[in-house]
Amino acid sequence: MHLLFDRASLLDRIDGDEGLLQELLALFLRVQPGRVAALGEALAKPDLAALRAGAHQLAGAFDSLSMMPAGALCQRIEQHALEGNLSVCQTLLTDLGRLFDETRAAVCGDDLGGPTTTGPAATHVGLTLPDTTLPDTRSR
Amino acid sequence: MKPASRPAPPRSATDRPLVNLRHAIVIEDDDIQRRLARAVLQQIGFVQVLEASDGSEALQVLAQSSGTVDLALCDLDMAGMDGIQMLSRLARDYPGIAVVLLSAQAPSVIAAVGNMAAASGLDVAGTMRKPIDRAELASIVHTLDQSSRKLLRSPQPDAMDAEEIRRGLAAGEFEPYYQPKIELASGRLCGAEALARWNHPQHGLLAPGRFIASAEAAGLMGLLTWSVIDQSFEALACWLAEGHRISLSVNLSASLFDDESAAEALCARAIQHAVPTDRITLELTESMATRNLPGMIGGLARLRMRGFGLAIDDFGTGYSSLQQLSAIPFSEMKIDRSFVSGAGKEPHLRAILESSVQLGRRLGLETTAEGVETLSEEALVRLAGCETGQGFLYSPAVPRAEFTRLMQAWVSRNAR
Repeated sequence: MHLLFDRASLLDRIDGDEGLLQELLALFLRVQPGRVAALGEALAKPDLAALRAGAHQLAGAFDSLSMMPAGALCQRIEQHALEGNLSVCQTLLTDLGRLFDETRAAVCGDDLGGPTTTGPAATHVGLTLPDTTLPDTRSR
Repeated sequence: MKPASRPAPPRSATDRPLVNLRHAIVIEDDDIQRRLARAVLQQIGFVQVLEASDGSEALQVLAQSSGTVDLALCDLDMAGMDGIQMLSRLARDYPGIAVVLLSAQAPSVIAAVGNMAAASGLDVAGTMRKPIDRAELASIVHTLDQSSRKLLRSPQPDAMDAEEIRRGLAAGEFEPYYQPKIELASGRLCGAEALARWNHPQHGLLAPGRFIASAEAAGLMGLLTWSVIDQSFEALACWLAEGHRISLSVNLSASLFDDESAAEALCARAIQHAVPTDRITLELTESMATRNLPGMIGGLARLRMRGFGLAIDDFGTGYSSLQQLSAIPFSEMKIDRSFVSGAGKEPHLRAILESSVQLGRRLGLETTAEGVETLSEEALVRLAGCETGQGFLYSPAVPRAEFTRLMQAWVSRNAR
């Protein structure tokens, strides 16, 4: 089973550069929340192309930071967006919001020297999800 | 089978400083991945790493960079101008830039884009699946840095000019370095590939990327090739006299065969240095062979008749490989490093590696794996049926005296 954030794996891939690791995590905390939220906005429109592209980009970023569960979930969203399956995307996006918060908490816990699930880092990211179930567009 | 013993390889071949490559660009639309890629390239040894968030921005950045960029690390799936469009523009406007493709797409998709880029004339140094891995990228970069494929690239901005090359030739500043070839079954050091280096009085040791393209353009390749041939034949004669059962491989320039007497001249050189021709293999890249000049084919056939070996170099990276295999009387197939380094992870590359070896063996060719850098790669190519291997796992190219010591050390280790 993958860790939410596999610090050792990331450190290994960047030749043990602690300074770079901290810089990357700071970048993660700064830019990823907005991107996750943007997925919700793309789904609400719905803009499948933006949803797919956004999920693809997020998946790459999560994987690059050794946050494999979140990366895998984004890949599933990308795939379902490609197939036009909005209802599944909606469910997966809700899961992503939760998983992202947990991942962010793991990162912040790591930063503080130990795991934590409390504090601002655990705040649920603001996803803009449609109120009603969306139609399946696969047949379009 | 008993594993081959060998002198300990360097702790990491990719810890060496880069010789040819200095400037890179990362083309990636994601901030985090772009930052990570830039840092990794800097760790590997690039002195400058530019950044662009898509193809359009990359072209703007390249236009302002005065043509100094050696390598582009390029994502494929980007908003704006994507990687595929950008590679076409790169091939048209910056054909001298080598590219590494990095993507989360399926390996077959990445490989297809790589083929497209190569077909457009770009030097595709490697393909990688995300997430970026320092060791994998370092391996690709260092291989490119040392690679003879770089010989085919356009003159770089920091390339030496023809007059300087002419002066260096006259002053005897060019010399061959030797990279060992290893017999995989026994672990015996069985051969050396001679690779040109320039001991420049001001700039230090220069690899071919700094002078080959200029020498080609100025019509100096003949002089340079003969210089390498003379020096390496002389070295081979000494090694044979000392009792080393070793063969020598030398890279040939297509322009050598502009002179119809080249084959005869090569035979004469072998006689002059008292080296048996069956100890010498002449390596031709596929791109060279594609010139398919009747005179060249005739010359190569004559050389085979006189006992020289002929190797098709970088097999699998060019075009009409099979046609060339049937047209030219090769005796050896050197399988390109891209199939060796990727075969452990990518099933389709492993299939190509194994099929190439099988093809080579059925054609009666000796098969050599290029770019063997790890023990697992060595095990893989041995399992595939390759007879010999070459790469950083054993040694980079080294000067003659060091190669002599290397052979002696190898003999001592294998005797234990």
